[in-house]
Amino acid sequence: MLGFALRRFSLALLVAAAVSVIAFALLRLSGDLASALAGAEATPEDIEAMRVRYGLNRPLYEQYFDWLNNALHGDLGSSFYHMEPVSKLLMEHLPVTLTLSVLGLMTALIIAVPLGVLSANNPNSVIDRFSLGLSIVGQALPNFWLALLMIVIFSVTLRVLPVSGGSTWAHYVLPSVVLGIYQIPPIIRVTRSGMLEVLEADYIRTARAMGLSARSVLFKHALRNAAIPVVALTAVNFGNMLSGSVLVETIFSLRGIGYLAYESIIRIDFPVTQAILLMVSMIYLVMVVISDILNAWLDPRIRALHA
Amino acid sequence: MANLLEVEGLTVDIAMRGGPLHAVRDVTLSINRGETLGLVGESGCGKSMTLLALMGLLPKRAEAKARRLLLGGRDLLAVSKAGMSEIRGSQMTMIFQEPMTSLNPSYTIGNQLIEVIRRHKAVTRAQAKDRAVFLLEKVGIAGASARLNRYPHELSGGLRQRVMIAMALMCGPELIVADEPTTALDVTVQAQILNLLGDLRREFNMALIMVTHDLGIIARTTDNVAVMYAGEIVEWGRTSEVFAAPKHPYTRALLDCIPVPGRVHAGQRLGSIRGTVPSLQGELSGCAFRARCGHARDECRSEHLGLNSSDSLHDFRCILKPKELVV
Amino acid sequence: MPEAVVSSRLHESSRPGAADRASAEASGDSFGVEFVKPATFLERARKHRIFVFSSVMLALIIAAAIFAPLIAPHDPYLQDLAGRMTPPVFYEGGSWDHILGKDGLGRDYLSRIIYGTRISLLIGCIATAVSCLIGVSLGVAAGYFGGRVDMAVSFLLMIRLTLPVLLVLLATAAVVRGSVTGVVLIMGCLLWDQFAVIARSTTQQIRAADYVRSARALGCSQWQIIRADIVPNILNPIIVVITFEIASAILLESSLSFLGLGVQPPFASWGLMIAEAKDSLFFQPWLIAFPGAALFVLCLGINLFGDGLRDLAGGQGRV
Repeated sequence: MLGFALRRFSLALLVAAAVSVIAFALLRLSGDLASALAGAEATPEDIEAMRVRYGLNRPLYEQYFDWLNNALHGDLGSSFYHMEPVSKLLMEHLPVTLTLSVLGLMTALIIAVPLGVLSANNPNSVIDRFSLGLSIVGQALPNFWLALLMIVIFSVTLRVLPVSGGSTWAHYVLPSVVLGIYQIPPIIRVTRSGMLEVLEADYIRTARAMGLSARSVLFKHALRNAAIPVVALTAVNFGNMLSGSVLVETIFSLRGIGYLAYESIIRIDFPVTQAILLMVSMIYLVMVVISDILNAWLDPRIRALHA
Repeated sequence: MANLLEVEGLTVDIAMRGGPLHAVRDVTLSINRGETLGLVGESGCGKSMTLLALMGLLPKRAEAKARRLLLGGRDLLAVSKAGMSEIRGSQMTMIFQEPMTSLNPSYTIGNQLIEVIRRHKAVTRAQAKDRAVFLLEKVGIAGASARLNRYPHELSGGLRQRVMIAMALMCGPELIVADEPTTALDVTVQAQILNLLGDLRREFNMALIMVTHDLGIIARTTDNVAVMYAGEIVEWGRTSEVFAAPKHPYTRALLDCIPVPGRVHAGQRLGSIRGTVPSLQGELSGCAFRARCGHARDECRSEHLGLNSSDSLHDFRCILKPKELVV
Repeated sequence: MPEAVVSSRLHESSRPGAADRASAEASGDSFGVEFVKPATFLERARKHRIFVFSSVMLALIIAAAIFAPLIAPHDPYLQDLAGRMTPPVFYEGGSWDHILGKDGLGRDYLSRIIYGTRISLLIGCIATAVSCLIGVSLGVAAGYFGGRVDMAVSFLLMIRLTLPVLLVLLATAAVVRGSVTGVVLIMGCLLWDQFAVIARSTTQQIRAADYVRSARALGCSQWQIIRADIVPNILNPIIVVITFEIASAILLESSLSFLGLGVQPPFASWGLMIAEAKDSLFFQPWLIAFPGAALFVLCLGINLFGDGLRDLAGGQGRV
């Protein structure tokens, strides 16, 4: 088991290294940052001064290793706009996004998994069609539009929930729901197809032949074996949600990572942008490794294989 | 004395494009505690479907009907789905063909065994555990206590089938139906499992319906046999009589296919029945076997016989008298 | 029965073979219904209600995009500051002249919505075409050649999946700000993952098939095999992926434009229109309702079409 985990981890490290190069290169190579920083009315001397000031005149690989070295020591540079250490900014903004993502994911799971299970058990029934319909509608809905619509309905017309900001728990309801809704269709589909496959298995036939209750057959015996792709999907989605939260956070004025990323891009605050790209990728990789390990642990056969 | 299981006129139709598939067309049988009934026939003859219909485990598109279907005097056709799930596993249980995949790989065998009895009877975990150990030892598994914590993948095929049998016995059923329980096992293990089933049946005085396509197993283990072809029973009676003097052309042909050491010479062609099983979809008429029967006549196309009264001890479904079958 | 009898297995019977059927039918004596002819694609397609419905819907939208100059009642860029924020016809103050009202700069909304189909479809399709090319090439190469090529492509795939697409898109779009070509190319370079995954697994399956092995035994070159055997057989699943990716690309472009980093004013991208209307959310709700509904309807149509296609191409039953 340990060897398996280590191998997954080292592969993740390789990918992380590659991503760090990309995150770095993306910004340094995308045009002349110095002139962008200096502004539209800058003279060539101003631009040159910018270049020297931010070390942009050094060879690229030198800049990269410098940055990487600092990053590994926890120094992600300083924000051009906020004049504060990037790591500090990240730590301030991360909790909001994490809260949103966790709440959103929980909402999605609570709705989508039971629907997927029940649909698989009763194909072509009312509940199956409803799940499929929900799935199709959810995927075609632009989430920023949904967010605005919900604001109109719940905040303006019904006056039940606040419009923006992040001071009370009530502020998190709408954003979490909007964020979660986008995750519901894939979870329903994966749960449903996984369950459909598992329900054909011989051991499910045995469970039914022994007279076990429908609830036990579905949720104890079947779901446990169908859970593997759902776990993988959820882990991956969690990583994706961090980036997808850009839209939700900007609309609801929540000061999370997504909002920070957007702001840094608009203001060409590339230390921040770079650091966020890197951080989100790292979180994604960690989630993938965790889900691989979790899945291996869930299936006793794989667990025995790697023990 | 009424029989434990009484089935009369069982049919199973499966809804399909192109017309309903008549998987089981007319099955009448009965069995009592302490007896073994063999159900033999080719693949696709409907023997597995018959068992599934008895257990209430048919797939959604299949519909079972019968004139009578009584278990211990209780009308199974009138029982609800929830009611059937209570009967299954406690009064009537089933053993399947594939022991390698019939147990849930994610739970220990102890967990699965205990769950079965606690579902049907009000026992404590400790009592359930004791019963599991008791039955595991009964089916010949050594070190039963320790094995409770093992996962299915840690056991061989033969052991897994023994666990399946133990699971089937957890609630002390009256009737066990076995669908080719030894087909997927090695020959030596086959014999052990068959002997085990026989011993347990005698000890617990259960009724056993054994479905197989292997005539040898039928000969060794059953008291009565029903030969199925194309969804219906074409001959039934005491095993010894049917094998000694088969009356239906199909049964005869089957028995003739078996090579007997001593009577078969090197280089001789093995017997076979020409042709293939007919499709059971749509409107059916006449005798199902006529295309492959060496004695078919014009009347066979239109006449479809019922079995004679179910009281007689050796019945068959053919217009020919046994004497006429002699070539 | 003597114990010495070797227990024999009855020979496995198969479904009625063609010879048996023919002889049975020839002798006029068949036991039951023997054979049902499978329907052709068009026949099945016509019966699939959702497929028909979505095809019609898409055809209408595509027609609107192509014939936009002919069917739009006004010039979508013509401003009329005096008449800004005119409500749609079913509100008080609306008129049939401007059925969907006017936006913040007095431009006719219906015309802008119609022209918006062009932008969404164009960007969505071209970006998908680029990503399809990249993804399928990588996927087929990985699936066909295996070994190191496969490892390299899988590594690339992992990197791509690790990158947060929206953020990378935002960052790079900011650099090419205003250039639609740039946005399309970048999207194409980021959205190829599904194509690669599906192309790879399908190619692996085909490659292992007997007919490919015999082609190699006959001495066919790699290119010949790829062209003749592999490509035709991955078309079906790839086409399904194409439809879903187009919808994905359309939503992505609209998100980008909503955040101000995609299509720039004065063009009529639906995402941009929603952004422009964001501040008038409370008093002129129709300004965000229509473009959003348009996006929703278009993506819904594409997804339903893709679902229907997958049902029809993949055989019976839903996945």
